Amino acid sequence: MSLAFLAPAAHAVSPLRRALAGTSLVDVSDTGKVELRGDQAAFEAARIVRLTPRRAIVLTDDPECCVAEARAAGLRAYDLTGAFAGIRIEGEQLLRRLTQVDVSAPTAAPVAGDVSALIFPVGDGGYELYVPQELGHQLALVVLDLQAGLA
Amino acid sequence: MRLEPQAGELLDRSRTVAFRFGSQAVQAFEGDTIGSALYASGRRVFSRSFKYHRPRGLLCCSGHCANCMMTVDGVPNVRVCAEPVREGAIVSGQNALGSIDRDLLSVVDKAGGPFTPVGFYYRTMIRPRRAWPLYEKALRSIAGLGRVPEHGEQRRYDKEHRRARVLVIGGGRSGREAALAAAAEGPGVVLVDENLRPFELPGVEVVAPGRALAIYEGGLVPVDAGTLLIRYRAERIVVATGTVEQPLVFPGNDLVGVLLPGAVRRLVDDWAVKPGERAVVIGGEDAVEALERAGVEVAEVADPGSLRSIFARGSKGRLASVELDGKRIDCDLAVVSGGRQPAYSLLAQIGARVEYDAPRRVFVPRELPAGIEAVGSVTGGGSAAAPSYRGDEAKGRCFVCVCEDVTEKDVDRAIREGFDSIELSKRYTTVTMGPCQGRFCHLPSIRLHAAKTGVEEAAIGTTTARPPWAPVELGLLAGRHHDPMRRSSLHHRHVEAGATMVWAGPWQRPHSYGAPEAEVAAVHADLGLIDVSTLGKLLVEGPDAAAFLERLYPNRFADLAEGRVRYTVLGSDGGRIMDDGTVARLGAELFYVTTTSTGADATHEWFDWWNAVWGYDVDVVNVTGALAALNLAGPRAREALATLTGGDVSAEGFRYLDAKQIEVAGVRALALRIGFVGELGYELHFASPAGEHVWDALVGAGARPFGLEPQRVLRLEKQHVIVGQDTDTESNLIGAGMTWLPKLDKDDFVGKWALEHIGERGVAERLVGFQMEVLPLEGAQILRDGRPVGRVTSARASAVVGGVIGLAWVSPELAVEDAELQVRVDGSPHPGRVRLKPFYDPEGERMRS
Repeated sequence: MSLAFLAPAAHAVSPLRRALAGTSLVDVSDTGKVELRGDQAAFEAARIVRLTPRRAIVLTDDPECCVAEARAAGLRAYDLTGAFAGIRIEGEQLLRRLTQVDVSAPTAAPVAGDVSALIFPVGDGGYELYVPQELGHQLALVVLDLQAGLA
Repeated sequence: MRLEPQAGELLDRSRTVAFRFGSQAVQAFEGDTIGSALYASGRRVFSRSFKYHRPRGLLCCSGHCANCMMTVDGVPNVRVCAEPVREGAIVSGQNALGSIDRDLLSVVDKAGGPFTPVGFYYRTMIRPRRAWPLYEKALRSIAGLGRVPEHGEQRRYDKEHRRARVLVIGGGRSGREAALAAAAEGPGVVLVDENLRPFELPGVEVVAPGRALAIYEGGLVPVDAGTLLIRYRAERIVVATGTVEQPLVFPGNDLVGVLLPGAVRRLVDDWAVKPGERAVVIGGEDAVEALERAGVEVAEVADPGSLRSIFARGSKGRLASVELDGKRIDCDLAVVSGGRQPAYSLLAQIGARVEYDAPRRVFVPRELPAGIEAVGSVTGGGSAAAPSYRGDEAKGRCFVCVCEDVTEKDVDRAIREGFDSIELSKRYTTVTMGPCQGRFCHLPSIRLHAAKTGVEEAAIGTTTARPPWAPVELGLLAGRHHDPMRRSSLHHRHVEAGATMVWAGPWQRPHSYGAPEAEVAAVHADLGLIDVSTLGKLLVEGPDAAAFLERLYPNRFADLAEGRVRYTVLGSDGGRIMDDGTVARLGAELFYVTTTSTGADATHEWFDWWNAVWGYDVDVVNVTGALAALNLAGPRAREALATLTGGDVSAEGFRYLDAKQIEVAGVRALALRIGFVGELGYELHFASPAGEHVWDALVGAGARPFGLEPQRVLRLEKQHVIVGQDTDTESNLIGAGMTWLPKLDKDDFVGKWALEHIGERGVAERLVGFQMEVLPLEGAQILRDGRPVGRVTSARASAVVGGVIGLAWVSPELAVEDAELQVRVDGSPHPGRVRLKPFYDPEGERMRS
């Protein structure tokens, strides 16, 4: 049996559709995310967080293709696109109110207290944050609240 | 009274600001503090003291002592001398019965003599014990600081995490030089200064006003910047905190009008306020110029080292005269200094050794830890050569600690009672434990100890320095409150359908949609739908996947056919029940494991832990959030599902305990035919972003949503156990009646040894079903012949069974079909009978149909 049921191919609704409606925050939840298991050091990807020598998460526009490539390279790969909600935020100061880690490179770190997140700098002081989708609304609330505090 | 504009004053006289003090409107200039504006308006009494309710006025005027604490816009204990004015602020006095000008509690000062020594209430008000809460309430309202508003508007506090290559604490001359030198070497230099006077340094990020509260390991320095707490991580820390002016201890040293020289300078230089009319200066020569510039008559300038006695006399708490060696001088201002003590607390906190510099009679920091430097007078500048103590309590109270109202007599008494080490005396008298954090009382208290005990200051030593160095609002430490709440991708559908949401572990889940009984009935008679996305979901993949699960769980998986599902219970090494769920085999090397909603993370960790121990070629991937899960249940489930899928869902093509991948309403789903609620049912697992679409399709096909409460009734009718509800950390499979589950003939599995032993020894209690007429509480006692023999874990009324049903742990001899027992309800026993088989559809024909 294949793992096709993992992939949100059809009828997807962002977990942040309501939380971000009417705000200036950009919802990037539909970005493809693929979890890699196995010796991933040799696997090249433009946007990747290498969590451990045997575990990485890739951001990709084509998760199906990424899974196939990784499987062909002998890795185990899983389309976890639906597992994460994503928000793009602007400004390093806002990020510094969310997390205490160094954010110059893609990294995994807790944000907004205790929500584990993937943080990708995207240039011009922009960052994409990915958190478990069941906590996505929480991140949206926190980011909006902190933005209000900076205003 | 406001002076002519002073060079370098902080005021912008073109802009006025108005605020209220009680019923009085106060005019201020931009750049004023609330304290300076009140002083300029003629106010001299700013607070009432902690214990004696003596009137107190400005003392340090630097935001360090407790003398100017007021309530500002509902926030208690604001040091108004350092709080910038803001338009429309509401300021009031605190810790007074009446007003700070006429405080009825000042009776404590006049008549409380025998009742006010330190520790009095702890020794006296201890009997009867039960009255202590009353004593405490009364004492708390008499002694103390401001009141925290319980229902007031909450202030907003934020936290920010920043990094610094070099963090300089203190913006005096040395601090600025250090910051500039560091900035010449590269970026990342931050200077934190607590003063209100703004300044800029090229290449340096200046945080002012900001107070460094502590230095922790790893270069962590929290900085209080008003309503923002900045947590700096610094590679190097330079402490340039300078020195702290020390008061003198003499009778009347707390009278309104006794000020430290720095306070006078700030009042004149920063805010152009005339501090008084006629001043006596004792050891504060550096304030003379400012006094004269302000037009204050300087009646006497004395060196405290050459004086034998100092005595301040007051009238209604305000300074009236000072007597120096018997010579009386009328004055309304006494500018008093006992020298300067290096402000070493931050250095001591992080591990610097502090030793006594005998010639200069001050404590100085030595042997700084790596990464910490100190510059300027904190390293040993300053001197407090004059003896600070001129006590003669017969002439009036000599305050060692103005924050906590500790007098020379209190310290003396503590020493005589045996609290003769400085640490014990601190705890007993609370000297140094007040808002100034020892800035003004640490050295005098050590001096006093030396004078009273004859032990050298160097041998007495200092008390331990601990964070925070300055009082900080608890709200600032707490920051924004965010309660992480997990929601399934169907959350909004539940809310829209009128669900009552409840906490279920970290999740918000529907309790019911308004009619739990009708929801139960719909599942039995027609078709129900429940969101079970919260179930933990793990993929286990690899050549050793079957062997891994076989060894992890008590039952068998090597023989589980592809496309089949098996119920399982996860056990600990001690044979105790940890979690339960299902395992579906999706391929030769691929399994799909579900766990309970609250056990997902623990189960995942357990899997990873054992995998690390055994080193199998297996990966365990947590896909809990990636997938939504819906349980479609009821006699019409097959028919409804068939309308939404092209897959074979016939009774033959999709049997009980089958796992198949099918498309439901155009969404690929893993469908498991299992039945927690006891009716024909399908659990559909699919990518969570499609949750609302599939939910809508199933509701459109006639399924009625049901919540957790109906689910609890339905599963209880089947005697299906909920781990954590019907089991606890001591429960094992044998006691829970699932003797069929563990396969003791397997080579090994986690907990096998323990289960074998439990099997031999027997169990102390058994989990059984029971039926009765009235509804007991969960946890209710089970009785037999009046003696407790067990407890209820779950109980619900069931319409389909026709009575109250439940599960209970009972003595093994009661685990017999139809055995009689009593359940305590509202204090009296009610009869019930043991039922070992499911109450509803005992053979499981409905869910297998």
